Amino acid sequence: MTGLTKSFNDKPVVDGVSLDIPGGVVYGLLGPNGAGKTTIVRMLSTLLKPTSGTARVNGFDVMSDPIKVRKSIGVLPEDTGLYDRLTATETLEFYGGVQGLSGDFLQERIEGLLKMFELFDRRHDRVGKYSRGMRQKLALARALIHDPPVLLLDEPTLGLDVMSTRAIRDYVKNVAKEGKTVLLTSNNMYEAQLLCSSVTILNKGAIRASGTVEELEAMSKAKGLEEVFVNLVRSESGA
Amino acid sequence: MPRARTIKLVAKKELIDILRDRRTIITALVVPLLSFPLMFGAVGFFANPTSNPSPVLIVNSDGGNVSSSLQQALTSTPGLVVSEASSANVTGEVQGGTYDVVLVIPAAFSSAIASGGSANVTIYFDPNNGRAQTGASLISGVVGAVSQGIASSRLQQKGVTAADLSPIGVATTPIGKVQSAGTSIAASLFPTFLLYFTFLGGFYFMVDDIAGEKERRSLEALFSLPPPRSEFFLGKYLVAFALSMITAGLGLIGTVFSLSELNIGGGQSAPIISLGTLPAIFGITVLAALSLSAVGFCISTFAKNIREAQQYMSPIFLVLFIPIYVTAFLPPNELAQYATIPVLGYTLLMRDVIIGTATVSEAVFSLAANLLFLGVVVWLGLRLLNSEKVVLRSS
Repeated sequence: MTGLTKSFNDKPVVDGVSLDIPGGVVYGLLGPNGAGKTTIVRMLSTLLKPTSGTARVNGFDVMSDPIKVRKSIGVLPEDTGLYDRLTATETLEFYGGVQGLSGDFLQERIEGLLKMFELFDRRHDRVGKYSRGMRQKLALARALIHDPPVLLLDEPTLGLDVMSTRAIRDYVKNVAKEGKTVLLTSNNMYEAQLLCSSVTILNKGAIRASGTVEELEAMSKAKGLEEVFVNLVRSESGA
Repeated sequence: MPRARTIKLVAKKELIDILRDRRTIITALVVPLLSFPLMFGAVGFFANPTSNPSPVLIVNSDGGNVSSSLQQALTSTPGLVVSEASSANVTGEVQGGTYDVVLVIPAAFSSAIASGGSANVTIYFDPNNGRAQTGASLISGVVGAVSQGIASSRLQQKGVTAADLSPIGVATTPIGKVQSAGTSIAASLFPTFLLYFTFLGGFYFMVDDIAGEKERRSLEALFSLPPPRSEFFLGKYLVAFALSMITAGLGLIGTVFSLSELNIGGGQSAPIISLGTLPAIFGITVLAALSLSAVGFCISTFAKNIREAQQYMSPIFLVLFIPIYVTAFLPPNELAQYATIPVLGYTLLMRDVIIGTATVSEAVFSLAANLLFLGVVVWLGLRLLNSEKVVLRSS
């Protein structure tokens, strides 16, 4: 991302964000509500056009190569946005089909993902009957159906119970081990510290700090990411 | 060029979704098939004196020959169930609902008429009761006929003929292509009903679709997929169109059944709509379904959520249908000048096709104007779908 900016009604929501996320890592985008995290994810998934600046995903420009960008990414939005009247299998068949997968390959992929996310036994149930944790797992399976090199996960464990949170975190770790790049937005500093090799802290649309957890701790002379985050946000608001 | 694969996948997904939604099935399939047969059937049953006869009480204080003949004529009249009494609380019988109509024949009624004079009978009924009105009307008719018979007999005795009493007659000769009352009714009803059902078929689907996806926040995941949004639009549009056509077809079957089997329109052996006109009616319905589905999609795409889509849909539904209702009051020779008005053009053309007065120029103007309208609406729908402000706004 270089000077990435997005304004709504001339009000910048993301303001000149420049960031280089290396491949094969879990990268955390942290910030309080309204910091601009979701807007950045939406620009990277080509849902929103940047007002200025540019971003490249997997080497493709979000403005000039949106289709190649979308082929390279798997997105888990803040709201799962699943279709309640479809079953898990039908959901993955639809998204996999639209991604260009078909036949035995698609069926094997669906079976593998449903087993990995422990949804296989409930694969013929309508999604409307799923718990929040199951829905989140299915949404993650949906993001992975075409085996994308880049994953954009927007608050993936928000509102989940302990077991589902643990399961999602384990999957994210495994996915990173496979060499995928994961951009994860979160409000949860513990989660970020646990999963991310590097993080960027945003506030009011701009970058306030970037680096590994250790680098940020040294920079703000605080122990733990939560302390670093609180110090940064407080100093911003003048508290 | 849009890829057929994505369109097919989206359409399949939408169809699975619809087939599991009872609300859409009832609106799109059950209502159009049953509403008109039920409506016309119920109206036909209750409005027909044979199936719903009027209970009548004759209070005969006379007992002479003329009153006996009158009573006999009334008893044999279909649509009346006649009872007799020599005295009764007339007002109470009507107000209490025991009888729809009470006919009072006074004493010395027959002797007054037999002596060449006149006498009155009195009919009591509640004018707020539709069946009582029909019964009273039937009784008036029978009394008039008996009276006419007596008058003719008296005039014959005096050497006066019917020509003496009615020297000028009136003969009516209908000019035009309408062959039957049924066809005439079909010509005024079909276009309205077909377009109504066309809109109704896709209504809930369209309201629920893009606006519903916004509300359920599923658009974000959908639009993060590689295909351009036009392919998703086409898949959804295809389903809305198919639903509209299915609903129109079922509505057509229901209406034809109502008009023929239920004997609405006088009953005749000739088909109400000529088979030769069906391809033209089908073609016009296809275009109307495409236009109305596109209008629905624009509204659904623009709305923030399902509730807002419904709020927009209802007035637009009315606005669209005002000109259609107007069609029934326009004489055929004035129709062509309105043919270029979107949607109205379809109803006018369909009406003219049914009665056989459609001209090539009317068809060309109507189709051209409506195709242009369709193009503009589809373009607008695609623009709205590509607008991030519109797509991401939700409550």
